[in-house]
Amino acid sequence: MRQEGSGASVTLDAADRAGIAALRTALVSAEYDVAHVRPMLRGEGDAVAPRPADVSIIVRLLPERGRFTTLMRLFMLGLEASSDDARAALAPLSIEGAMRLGVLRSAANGVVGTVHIMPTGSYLFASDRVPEDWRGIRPDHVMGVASSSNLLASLVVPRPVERAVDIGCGCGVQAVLAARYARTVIACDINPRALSFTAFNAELNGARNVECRAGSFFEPVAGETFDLIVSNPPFVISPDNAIAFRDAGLGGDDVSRQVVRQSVMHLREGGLAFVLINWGIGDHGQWPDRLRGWTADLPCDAWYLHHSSEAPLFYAASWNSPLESLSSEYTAAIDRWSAYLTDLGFAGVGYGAAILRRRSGVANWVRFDDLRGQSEPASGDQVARLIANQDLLAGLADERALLDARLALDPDHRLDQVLRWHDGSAEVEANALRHETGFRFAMPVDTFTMELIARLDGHTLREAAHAAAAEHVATKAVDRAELEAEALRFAKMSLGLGFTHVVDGGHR
Amino acid sequence: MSVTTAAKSVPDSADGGGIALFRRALRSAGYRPDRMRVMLRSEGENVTPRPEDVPVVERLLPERDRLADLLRMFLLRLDIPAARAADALAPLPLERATRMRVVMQGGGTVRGAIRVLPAGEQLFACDRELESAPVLPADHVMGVSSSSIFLASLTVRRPVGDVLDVGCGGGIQSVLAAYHAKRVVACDINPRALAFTAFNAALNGLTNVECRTGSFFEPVEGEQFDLVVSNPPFVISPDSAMVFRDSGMRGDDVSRTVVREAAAHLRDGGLAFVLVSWGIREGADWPAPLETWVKDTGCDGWFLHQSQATPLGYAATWSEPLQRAEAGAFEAAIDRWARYYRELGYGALAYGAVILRKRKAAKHWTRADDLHSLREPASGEQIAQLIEAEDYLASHSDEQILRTRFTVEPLHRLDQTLRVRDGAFAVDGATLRLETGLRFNIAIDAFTAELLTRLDGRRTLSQAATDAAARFAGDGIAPADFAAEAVSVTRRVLALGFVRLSTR
Repeated sequence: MRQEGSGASVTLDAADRAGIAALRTALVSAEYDVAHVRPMLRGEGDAVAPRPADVSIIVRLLPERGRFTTLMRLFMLGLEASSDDARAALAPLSIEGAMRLGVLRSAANGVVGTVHIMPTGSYLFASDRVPEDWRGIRPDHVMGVASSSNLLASLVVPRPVERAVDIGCGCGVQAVLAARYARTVIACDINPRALSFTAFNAELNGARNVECRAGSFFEPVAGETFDLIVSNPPFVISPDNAIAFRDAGLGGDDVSRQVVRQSVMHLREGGLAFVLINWGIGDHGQWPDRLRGWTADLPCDAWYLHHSSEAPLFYAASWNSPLESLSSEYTAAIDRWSAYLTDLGFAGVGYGAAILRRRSGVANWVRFDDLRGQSEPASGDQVARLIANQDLLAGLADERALLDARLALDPDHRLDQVLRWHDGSAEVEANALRHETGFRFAMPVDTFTMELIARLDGHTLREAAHAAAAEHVATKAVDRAELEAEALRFAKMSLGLGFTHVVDGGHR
Repeated sequence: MSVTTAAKSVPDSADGGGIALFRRALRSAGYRPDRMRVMLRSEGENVTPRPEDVPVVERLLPERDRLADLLRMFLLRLDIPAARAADALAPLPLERATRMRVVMQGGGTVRGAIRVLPAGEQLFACDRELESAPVLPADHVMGVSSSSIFLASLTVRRPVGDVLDVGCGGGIQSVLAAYHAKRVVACDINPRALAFTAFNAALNGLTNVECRTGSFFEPVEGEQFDLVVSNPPFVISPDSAMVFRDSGMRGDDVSRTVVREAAAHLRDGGLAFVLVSWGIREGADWPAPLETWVKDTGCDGWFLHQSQATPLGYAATWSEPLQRAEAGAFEAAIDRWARYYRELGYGALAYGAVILRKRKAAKHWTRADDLHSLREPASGEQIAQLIEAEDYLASHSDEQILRTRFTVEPLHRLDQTLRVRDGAFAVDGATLRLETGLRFNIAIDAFTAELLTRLDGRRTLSQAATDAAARFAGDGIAPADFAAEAVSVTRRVLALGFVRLSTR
């Protein structure tokens, strides 16, 4: 049982609207969707494609026959199906129609899929099949939905906009998802095959407002500006230049820096950019060090998120893991990569995202959040709330104005309390407010703060603080200034982490 | 490299002086789990890196470092120049180490003839081949594995007389038991396993481990023990290729047989700890087969469920090394194994442990706990205490329990989740958690929370229930209902170790 490798000459016909609609009908009616496909895939939920050994198991878990089984064989597992089974599974699309579309070809015992199709949310994305042997990977390989695409998509603020652009669109995941919010989406990639997949996927998902343009990074949109920019660029810092989706060949972390800077130049006033990035971390350095310089001279607010970082050797090992089974090529690659990173002066490489908002003529803010250890998807709504709070905090001429503001507790919260037994009674050891969706920020709170939080509703911060102090038995006649300082500390921290928002007042 | 590979060699357990020198070499270089973890940057219970990670680990090791060179030889299976090997092995001379079949020499380089793995503070030699290899010799002797660590962590480590280790393999359980036993009898059908056991006993400076060759309990016919430990070849498979994995018995007969034989070889009051794998019929509860195993053995039985898999999942897990064998080998194996489970009528296959305690009594208790794959270090003392709790619960009526004083165990925490409702934080859920050993947890309600704060060792349960009930006055619940609820709650939290009998 052999899987099909990367299609040697897959070309998709994105113009065949009727054919693509028929393919969609076939997939949807056979329940080839997240609810039915994802449970069959073993391992991580965001796996790009099942590993060969998992294919052997998945095919045994599938019912012997049936349209779903056939479509899984063709478009997920890379296995052949008989012409009769394929005909039944693809209807209303004919076998000949599927071949003309470019998603199917003849094989020894019937037919086989030429593309990998992954359901994501309510969408379906076609991409190149993952080759069994990376030595055989095409330089113009088009990658499917990966964990990085899910991360980027989850950050995007869901608000209606006029024009959006996806830089380095690959198979078009971000472009198709952005088409929900934007009147027009321009999808750019230097790889023409990527654009044909993007056009195909836009049609497959009924997104008629996606326009594809070939060219390097922002070249195809020179002089144009946008309300929304999304980019999952080839951010890997490597000495290689072999694979378009991975290596940009710019040297160091220049790809990430360039895309971040160019994004700002292509944003309209108030527009937002979301860019996945890799960057170097110097010896004894802090992760934000290099990032500080990236946008300091540009008219934008910048928010950098740190998801993980790796030492050069481990970074080299993870990006070359497909070569593990070829020991000499693997060791040569990790030595070459480690030496390259060390020569650049990097003791580590960070992975994360930049969120940028064009805002001219004001004092801009920059914010850094360390999200290491968090694997949950972000929430675009939360991102929007945190940006609003950041604006408010950065714009305060006198923070004491917050004392007259009315704050409200965000409904997405819970208080986690840890109690331990001491002399027969349970004593509170730790109290922390936490979010239940999006970034899982935590904020330690004491009993005074708990009383304060419970009294926020309908009161100014000052009123809530005094009411809480009256109730809070442990607080012995604290002076007014101390109490208000404490309340202000709480307000700034809870606004910054998005546990509260201002209902009215407080603006200056 | 050109190394003379001694066929089927085992290290020489007769050269006691040489083994002592080997131990000194390992110890003085810091061949200990903590130091090894730091040098190998390993996480989790297993210090051995995956074979595909060895190139990365190799690049992290310092040059000119004795521990690094010992790790290259005895853990990472890398060759090193003879001069460096001699330095690393000092005070054991290289020639003597070669004669002992601890290392192999050839062409100016040296490689380990064995691997040496840590378990706790002890060191264990095992075969050089990795268990993840697609093909292994039938008489392969395994190293420290997650199952051996699991069994070792369950075993009660109190001073004991005679111990039996059935299917001792490299002797891990025997060596660990020898520290708290007068005498350990280690049995295995594989003579190579016994050679490793003898070597490992000496490597850890022990002289009270006696090795006997034979199938399962054959070498100890008619003998009785205070403690029986066994990590048998419990894998349920149609194959019988590897002695350490496949017993050749049908279905889960090997686990059942070892459990029943262990019971038969226990003295009164003696404990047995046996790792088992068993088949579960469609629609049946996981403890059902185990209940029948311990019936009429004269033992109380405690069943621990560690994990469970579908027939295909079980087959795939145990056949994983075949993914690296010739094309189609993995698929053929999982098809053959899954078919075998269908014939046996198994809807699922489980893995866990059976704990037995021999006791003269008219009626014996059993208990079943699902550990949800939690792996925790040392829980033997906790298990001993919970056996005592079971004894108490089995021999006391609700009335007696109400008249008894209990104390909350300090070694646990209460996790509460609160949310703001109507202008105040209100408790949305509360869970008691043990923080050591078997990490039991239990969701509790408001009454239980109130009751627990009143189990202060001074009040009887009946008084504590009355006091706690006062908090719920006006809810229209009869005092007798609170008392009944208090007994039922106390039975549960006592069995899980959240409270104990007061010693006041």
